[in-house]
Order: sequence, then C-alpha cells, then structure tokens
Amino acid sequence: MEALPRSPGGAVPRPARRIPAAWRIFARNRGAVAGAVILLGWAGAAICAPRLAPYDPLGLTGPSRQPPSALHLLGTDLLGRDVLSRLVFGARISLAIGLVSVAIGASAGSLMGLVAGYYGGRLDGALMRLVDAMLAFPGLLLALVVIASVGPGLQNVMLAVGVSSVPLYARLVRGSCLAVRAVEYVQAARVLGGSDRRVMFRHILPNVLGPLIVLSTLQVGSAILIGSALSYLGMGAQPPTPEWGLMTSDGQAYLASAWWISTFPGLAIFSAVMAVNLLGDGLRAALDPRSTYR
Amino acid sequence: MATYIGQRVAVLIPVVILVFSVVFAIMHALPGDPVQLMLAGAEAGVTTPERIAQLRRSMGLDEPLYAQYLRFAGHALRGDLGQSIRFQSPVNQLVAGAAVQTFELSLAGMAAALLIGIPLGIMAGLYENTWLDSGAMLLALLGVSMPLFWLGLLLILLVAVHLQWLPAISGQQLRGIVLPAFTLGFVSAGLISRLMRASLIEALRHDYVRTALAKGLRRRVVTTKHALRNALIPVITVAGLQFGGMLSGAVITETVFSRPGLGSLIVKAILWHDYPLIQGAVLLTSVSYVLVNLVIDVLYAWVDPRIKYA
Repeated sequence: MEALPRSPGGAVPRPARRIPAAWRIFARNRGAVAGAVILLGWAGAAICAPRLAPYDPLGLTGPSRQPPSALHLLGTDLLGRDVLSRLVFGARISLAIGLVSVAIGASAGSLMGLVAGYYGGRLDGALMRLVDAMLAFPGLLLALVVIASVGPGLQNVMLAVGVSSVPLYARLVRGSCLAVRAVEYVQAARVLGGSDRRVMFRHILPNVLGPLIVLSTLQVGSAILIGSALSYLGMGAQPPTPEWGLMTSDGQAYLASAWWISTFPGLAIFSAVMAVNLLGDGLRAALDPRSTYR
Repeated sequence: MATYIGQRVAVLIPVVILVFSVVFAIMHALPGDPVQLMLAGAEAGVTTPERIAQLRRSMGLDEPLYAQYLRFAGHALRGDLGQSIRFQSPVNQLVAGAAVQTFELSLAGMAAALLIGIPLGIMAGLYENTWLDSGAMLLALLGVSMPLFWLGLLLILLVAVHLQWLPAISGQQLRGIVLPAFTLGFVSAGLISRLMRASLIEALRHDYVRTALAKGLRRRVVTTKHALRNALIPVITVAGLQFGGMLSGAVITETVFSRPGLGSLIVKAILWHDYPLIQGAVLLTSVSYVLVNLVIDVLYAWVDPRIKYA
C-alpha cells in the first residue's frame, strides 16, 4: 500500500509542456468538472456567507424545530436558529479545517520525507520508525490522541487532523526522493555546489509535485470528514458554532420528529467531500498518468 | 515461514515501544495539571487539596518522569493498566469487556463489507462500462465520501423510525447489530468493490484465460474457476487491512448507535479526562491494530506461496 516512487530516472516531466495536456484530460472528465463546480459553490458560499445567509446563524430567528418552509428554507433547529444560514456559515469552518489541516500535514510531512530520503542513514531510519508508530494508530485514533492531549476546539482539530496525515506525505515524498537522489541532474546540481536545501527544494521536490497535489486534494476531503466527525463526537467546534458535524449531532435526539436538523448538515458534509474526491480523482488521471488506481 | 514471522515480529517491537511512548506522552507532557483536569472531568469538580495529593501519589505523579515511564511500562507488561478515575475499577477489566464488543462489531462490519463489496465488484468487472458498472462505482464513491455518523443517522431514520424493521439502539439481540454493521462496513464495501472490479478485469485479460477459453471451456467456468480465484487474492489482503481500520470506524459507529465498545469508551474517557482509561484503551486499540495487520500479512504469505518471505 506504499506510495510508489513515480519518477524513475530518464523521464523527467517538464511541467510547462504537460499543463495543456493535463488540462484537456481534466476537462474531459465530467465527474471532476462537476466536483470542481460543487466545490466552487461551497467556496462562494463561504466567502459571501454574510450576504447569502437569510438570517443570523447564531440568532434565534423563529420558533423551535420548524419544518422547512418558505420562511426557513431548511427549517429551524432546536433553539429556533435558521438551518440554512448556519449551513452557509458552516462552509467557512469546514473548508478552513480542510485547507489548514492539509497545509499543516503536507508541509510537515513533505519536509520529513525530503530530509529522510535525502540524507538517508540513521536519520532516515529514525524518522521512518516514527512514521510507522504514527501509522500504528488506525485512522481517527491518532487525531483523537492529539485532541486528548491538547483539548477540544476548532484550532486543535486542525492541528490533530494535520498531524495525523503527516505519515502519508512523509512516505510519498521519501519514496520519490530515494528514486531521484542518484539521478544525473541531481548529482550535477550537487557537484555544481548547490546547497542541500537548494537541491532538495529546487531539484527533488518538483518531481513529486504531481502526486503531492493529488494526495493533498484527496486529503482535503478526508480532513473535512475527520474534522466534522471530531466535532460530532464533541471534541471539535463547541456550541453555538455553526459547524456541520456539531449541527448533525445537535439534531440527533430529534431525528424522529425533526429530521431536517441533522439531515441537511450531513448532506452538506457529504456533498463537499464527494466534490473533493471527484476533483482529486480527476487530477490524478490528469497529473499522474502512470497511476494504476483506475 | 517461521523466520518470516520472526522477522515481522522483530520489526514490530520498536513500533510497539514507540506507540507506548506516544501514549505515555499524552498524559505526561501535558501543559497544566492532569490531576486537577481529571478530577474536574471525572468526579464533577469535587476537588479538595487532600484528594489531589492522594490521587497524585496513587498515580505516581510525584515521581520523576523516567521513573513513571518505567513503572507504567512494567505494569503494562504485566497487564496492569492502572485504575480508572471515573469508574474506580481496573482499566484492563473495562477495556477487555469493551474490546469483545468492538471485535464482534468489526466482524459483523467486515461481513457486511464483503457481502456487499465482492458481488458488486464482480458484476462491475464482468459488465465493464455498462450501467451496472457505473452504478457500482458510484456506490464506491459514496462510500468514501459519506460521513459515517450521517450514514448511521440516515439508516436509523429510514429503517428504524419509518419502516420499523430493525431497532435503532442495538441491545443484546442479534438484530441490533445489523444497522451498525452496515454503517461500519459501508466504506470498506466501496473500496472492496472497486478493487474487486479492477482485479477481475485484469485477471480476465491474462493468457491463461484465453487458453482456457480456446480449449472450449465454458465462459462461466473460466470466469469462476480461473479468473475469479486469482482476482480474489489482492481483495482479501485489502479486506484484511480494512478489518484493522474498522477499529477506527467503530469510534463513530458505536457512538451513533450507543453501543458499548472500545471506540465509545475512548470517546467518553477523553470527554471525562479519565487519563488512565484513555491510555489503556488507546494502547489496546493500536496494539491490536498492529497485531491484526501482522496476522493478515502472515496469512497472506501462507495463502499465496508466490509471496517471497525470505
């Protein structure tokens, strides 16, 4: 299940030429385009939330548990807050969780993989044992462990989700780094007196950029999933934050009488994550032609 | 084979030691005073200075860090994981009881995943690029995009509340495990069907399939006896890895369906700041995850003699 090094010596991808071809492959993929559109929709909702939302997301704007109507398109929740307005503002939180935690995981993990793959030896051994230990916690558990030690809250969720994705990036980047470390142009850069840092970031890292973009995109989806799951469990956003996972859990007790309170926030999470996955699969097909996943 | 197992176990030892250290660090590298946090969370704020001092002494928190680490390690090796603050009973008993429940749920979830994923993947593979194929692959996409807690709630709403076929809260009867198992297995079902499809399509393109067909064997026989058997091998490995991952899905599933188990125990322990209980439950979960993966690897090498375990 390890990420395979995808850039053996010889065939060095030239980004400038590949972009048009990649774009054509991507644009022909209907799923990927649909994903991009849905995602842009959510991003638009997040940016224009104060204008789009009909009500104050925290305000008590109607009777409690009103079914969807013309006045409240998606109904009201337990306290009489407008579900649609909360959903729109919730997009800000979920997208922020997705982007920030991926930024944390991708930068820390890539750095770890680069250093491990480039220097090799004992440092590599030590870093990879650490990665193994992190992978020994199944999925959500590592994020839970981090939350248990830093406490609940939105920022801590981003940290926890980011940290738990570090091993994935570290493995991917280390693999590619090992594959190109001995290739002529890297050797040449070193002989010409390029510093370690320059060789790593200018000559090795660009080789992994394609798979790295694909992994990061797909990870935005799982970060949104794990982030909302943590909030659902009561360890992420705290009330009255309009966070999708928290909103789903709020309505759980009234599922039989007021189904809309839980159903719509869940649908929002699902649509955002599916859009990210479609987009990621499209990018994989476009940027990573040797990929065998499909 | 024995050397292979030996090697695999030897590699695991440093990993388990590291996992152990991470779990230890959760409790001891904390900013703030864990004892006060725990008392506030687990005993609802009844904090007298005497109780704090007593708890600190009984947990050995007044010793230097290395001594605490060695003591924790020594006790854990003998199966003693300390005392839960909330329940005032040994952690290993609480954790062992919960582990049985979670194991049952994981087995049922795996069964659901295989029962859905394999037939679906086979159909998608046999009827490549038809509506059947697209349907099956759409389901796989739904599986990886669906928040588990929402799926669970939708199932409760539809099957338990509206149709009233199955209970929403799983009690002791067997019927109660159906919805949680389906919820837990859904993600894996998607992945398994996707892999089954790819693997079957690849197997059908092999020379031995063409040879068998050229000999005049019926397509049905060739598909089931020749292609399918080979195509199942990677599926079984991934299913095994998924089984380990169910330990993580159980955290959500058990909470949604209010089932007792390791997952819901960890969640409660974190919310209560019951650190000894968190430590014990997390330790047991990750060690079992590592062991399950080891067993799968060994079984895989045993089932498929082409795997070189030199």
